[in-house]
Amino acid sequence: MKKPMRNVSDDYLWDQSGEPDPEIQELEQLLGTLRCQPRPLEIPAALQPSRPRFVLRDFKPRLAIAAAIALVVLGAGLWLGLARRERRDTPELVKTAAKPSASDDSRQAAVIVPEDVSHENPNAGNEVLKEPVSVLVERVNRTRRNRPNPTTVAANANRQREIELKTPELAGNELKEAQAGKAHLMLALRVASAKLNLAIKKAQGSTSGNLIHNQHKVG
Amino acid sequence: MKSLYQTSVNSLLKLAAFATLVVLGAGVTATAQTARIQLSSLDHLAAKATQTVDVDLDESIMKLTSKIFNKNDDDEARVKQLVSGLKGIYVRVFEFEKEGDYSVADLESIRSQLRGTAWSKIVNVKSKKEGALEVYLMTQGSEVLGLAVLAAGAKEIAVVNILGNIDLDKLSDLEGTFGVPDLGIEKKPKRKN
Repeated sequence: MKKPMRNVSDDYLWDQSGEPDPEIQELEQLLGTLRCQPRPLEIPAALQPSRPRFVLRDFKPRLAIAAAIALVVLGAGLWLGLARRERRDTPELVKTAAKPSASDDSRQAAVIVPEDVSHENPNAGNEVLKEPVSVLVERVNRTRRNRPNPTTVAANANRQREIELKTPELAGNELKEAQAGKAHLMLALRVASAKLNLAIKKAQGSTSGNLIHNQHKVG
Repeated sequence: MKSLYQTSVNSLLKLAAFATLVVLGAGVTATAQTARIQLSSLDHLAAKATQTVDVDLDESIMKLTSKIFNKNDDDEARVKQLVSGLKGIYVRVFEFEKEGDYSVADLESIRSQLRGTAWSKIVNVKSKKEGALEVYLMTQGSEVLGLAVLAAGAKEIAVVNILGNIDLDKLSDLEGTFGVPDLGIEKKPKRKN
């Protein structure tokens, strides 16, 4: 005799959300004892591999720290060494004023003289400057041209070559730029010094004290 | 985890914004305190001048130049020491063939920058015969931040602007010493025996 078919939802079989079927539950109980029971893997003692005798493994963190410190010390040492070397190799150029090459050219470049203008006493009657700037610059150039003797020039040239070799950071264009800058600097300082002296002398005459000694009292 | 990430990002953004503000503020302050005066208003005088001296040395060139001074040479060592605290030197000298080639407005364009609390006029010489000679100093406490010299003769105008802590004693001693020839701008009176 056949059992009557019941309309049972599949939800319980799917996700146990529907109405439970007693037969299914019975099967669950019977088969549930065979379900997978998670447990840690137990390896028989006979099959366990022998532990490698790696002594350093216990000291790994300490070794890492020591290596890091050693690297830092090494890096600092290298850095300080290089810095000291750079300092030692800092260019100490010999007095190149005698060399009429880049310095004089650059000074000439700084002084622009139109060709179509007469230079015959262009500043006559100027009481502030006793002589025109052109004469002053020419005098500077002449003084610097006439100063050295050939031996000095040769010695300076040799030393200059040594410096160029010792200071690769200032080789080539940078060195020329520095020399041109030096010439400009000296020209600027001359003009500034002359004007300052003139101002001080005009202000105080040639009588009492020097105003510039009171510069720190200002402000 | 996400909130921690967002918090970190927000903190970093705030820090970056604060740093930006600090840098901008420092820049504005530095600009306000600069002793540099603009000389471009005199550029048009070069066309009329019979001779022009034009020197622009900024801090980078000054540093580069200071490397080639010989410290074993006393004169160069003194110059190096003098310029070690400087941040720039700017010089304009225009020499004219005849009087009246420059105007009062040209001078005024420089003087207007030297007015105010930042600059102090320490020397002021004026005469119809000799023109004007003015020396200005910008100081902060006892530190000199800059020097400006304005000289205006009948046929010449000269402006010197030095940035940085300049020692006026050493600068005035420069002329006529250690390889710098005396330019003869002011000849010393001969002593009578």
